[in-house]
Amino acid sequence: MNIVGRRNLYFLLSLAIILPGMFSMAFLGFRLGIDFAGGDQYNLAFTRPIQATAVQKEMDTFNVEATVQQAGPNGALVTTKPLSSVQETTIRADLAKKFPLDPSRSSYAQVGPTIARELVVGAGGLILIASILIVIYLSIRFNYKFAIAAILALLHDVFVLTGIWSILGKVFNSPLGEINTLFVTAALTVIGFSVHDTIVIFDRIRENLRQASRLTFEQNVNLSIIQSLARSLNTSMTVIFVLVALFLISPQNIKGFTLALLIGIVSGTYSSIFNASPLLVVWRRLDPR
Amino acid sequence: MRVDRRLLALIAVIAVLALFIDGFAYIYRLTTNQPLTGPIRGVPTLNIGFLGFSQQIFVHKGLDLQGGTHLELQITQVRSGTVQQARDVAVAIIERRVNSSGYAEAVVRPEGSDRIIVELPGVDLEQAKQILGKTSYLTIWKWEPGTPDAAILQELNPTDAQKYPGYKPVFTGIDGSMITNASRSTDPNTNLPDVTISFNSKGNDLFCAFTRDRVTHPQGDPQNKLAIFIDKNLVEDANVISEICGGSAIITGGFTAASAQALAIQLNSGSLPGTISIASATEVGATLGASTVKLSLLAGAFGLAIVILFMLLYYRLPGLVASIALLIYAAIALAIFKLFGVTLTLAGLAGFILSIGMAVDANVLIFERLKEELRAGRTLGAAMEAGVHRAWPAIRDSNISTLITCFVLYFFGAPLIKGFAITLAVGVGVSMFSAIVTTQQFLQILAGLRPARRLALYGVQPPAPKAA
Repeated sequence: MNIVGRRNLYFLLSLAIILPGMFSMAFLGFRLGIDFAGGDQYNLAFTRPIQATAVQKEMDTFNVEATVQQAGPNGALVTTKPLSSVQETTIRADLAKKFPLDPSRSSYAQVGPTIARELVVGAGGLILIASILIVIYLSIRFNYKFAIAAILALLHDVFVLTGIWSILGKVFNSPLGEINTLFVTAALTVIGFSVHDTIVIFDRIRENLRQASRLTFEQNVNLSIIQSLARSLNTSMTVIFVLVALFLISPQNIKGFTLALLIGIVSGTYSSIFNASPLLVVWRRLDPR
Repeated sequence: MRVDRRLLALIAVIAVLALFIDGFAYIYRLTTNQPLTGPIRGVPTLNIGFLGFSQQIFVHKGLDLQGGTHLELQITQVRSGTVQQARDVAVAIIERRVNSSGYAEAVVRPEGSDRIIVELPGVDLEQAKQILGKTSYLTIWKWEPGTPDAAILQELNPTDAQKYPGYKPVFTGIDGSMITNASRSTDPNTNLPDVTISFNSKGNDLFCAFTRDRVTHPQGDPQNKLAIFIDKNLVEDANVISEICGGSAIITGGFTAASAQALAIQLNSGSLPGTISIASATEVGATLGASTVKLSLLAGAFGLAIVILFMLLYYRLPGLVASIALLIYAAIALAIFKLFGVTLTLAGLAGFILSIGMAVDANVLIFERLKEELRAGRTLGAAMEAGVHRAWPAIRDSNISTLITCFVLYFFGAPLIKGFAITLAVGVGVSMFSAIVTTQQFLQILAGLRPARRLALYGVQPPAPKAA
């Protein structure tokens, strides 16, 4: 099996997934959750099935830029612009009067505009700080080329995930594709996992390079990938099993979170096998020192 | 490497301790004669007298799992001093308000320079707003001959201000800011609820002088009376029988137990040192949280079962070892959450469940190496040693990079993210112990057992005699 030899094919496959996402991000942007956009969100649970359109009609009378989405037969997700305390109480009382609301299974969240701005800055900063620290650690343990290849694979995963999220939220208009705090958590976990996966293969390359052999650098890298393939796939499989279980039975409010983890882990496994290590070979060819 | 009996004993002790802590709620129920199912009374507390050790042991559930309201308050328009001072004063006042409302599990803490986090388990947003938002302004007035002017009729309820024709209320200078404490009390004579208020020294001086002056008027004359207004309304209009200089007074105004309690809270709130607004609020219904926990635990159990099945089918005997190590791992992680009071949130639970998947990774790394060494024709014992030895750098470097991410998440992330970071970090840490120490020791035991030496048990064909 020659993975490194077919590297251009694998790079192309990655681009085929990343480019549409990039376009979507550039031209359509993201579907921001209230954590980032500010606003109020009612996660309503009813005692019997209610159509989201009926709730939408009712919400439209308040003129608060409300969007209502069906969340299961007995639920609806209502998002509005930031409400004043009085508005919030009025709307809540009205909804309770017009619909068979079950308050003990409902939830509500409000995020003011100042907090929302802070989170946007914070999320970007977190990814940057984590990346820098990981580069430093890998430069010490391996060398800077390995570190940068690992970070490129990591960025690949971040772009795959955010691109798919942009498409999901904007093109398909799905509430799953909402950018919120949980999504940022998922993205950061994916970063950790992606580097984790890449390092295991790099460790093999490091070990094989130490042993004197007649193999070229390229052959060596390919051998290392093959040798660690079983482990890479097995570990990802076990994590994916757990995540699929989580995704299928998770309640509406963390479905997006588990889906993001699932996509990220698949992408992370792909990038560490097909992108990170072949990148080392590309670099070696351009700069043979 | 041989079996290290001391290390094995350590693993056994840790596992037993972890199981003890995990099951402590049941031990607590037994010792306090409670049924084993249904809601538990009291907080399970482990007391070891001679060590002076006392620790509450239970799963600290976040608001999203137990239901309640989380508020982030912001202070603006501070009247005096720095924002930070105002924030600390406000924290103290809000804490007092919340505590006097009887919400013992509530959390009030400063956040950043101008924020306050308030967490109220089991309280909905409207109740929370009432507890936090409503301050009552108490003023004490006297009656003097005359008719109330327009300004007074504006400030006070007109019906109350014109209670006695020919008399008008005059402010004594005593207001709520001079109250140091207010509490619900009971009138020993009538057994009716009332409210006891204590004054600071300035309030006491004024109140003492005021009552001394009022006593000089005959009883029945409005000038003998003391009028307490809360906001605009007259709540008490009492005769002053003697001077009151003891630093406290009692308001009896036909209260119910609840309204006396509410007034005490409102008086306690005093005046906040600035304008407090809600920057963000989250409210979770009570049963929503409970059903989330149930679903997550189901997902966790399901995930664990699949992982164990996979390990058994793919790695055979070592898979069994890894599964046992995984169960010990889950028991230890849960015990750590309970013992150190790590607050489990939805994201935290997800982090924990995810770490189950990652925990097997170290085992997978070791077993893949083990297979390779066995295929290369090494003896079982040597292969096990080499497998662990060679897998170690990869395990170390990969887990440290995950820990770096956890570290960044914990120190720079929002509270929701923090919970996730802690559980994931605990998971990664314990899983390294589980893989390196537990699995390795168990493998060494296997290597010493004759029936466990058949290579087929490790999913490896015996090596063919070398051809070349």
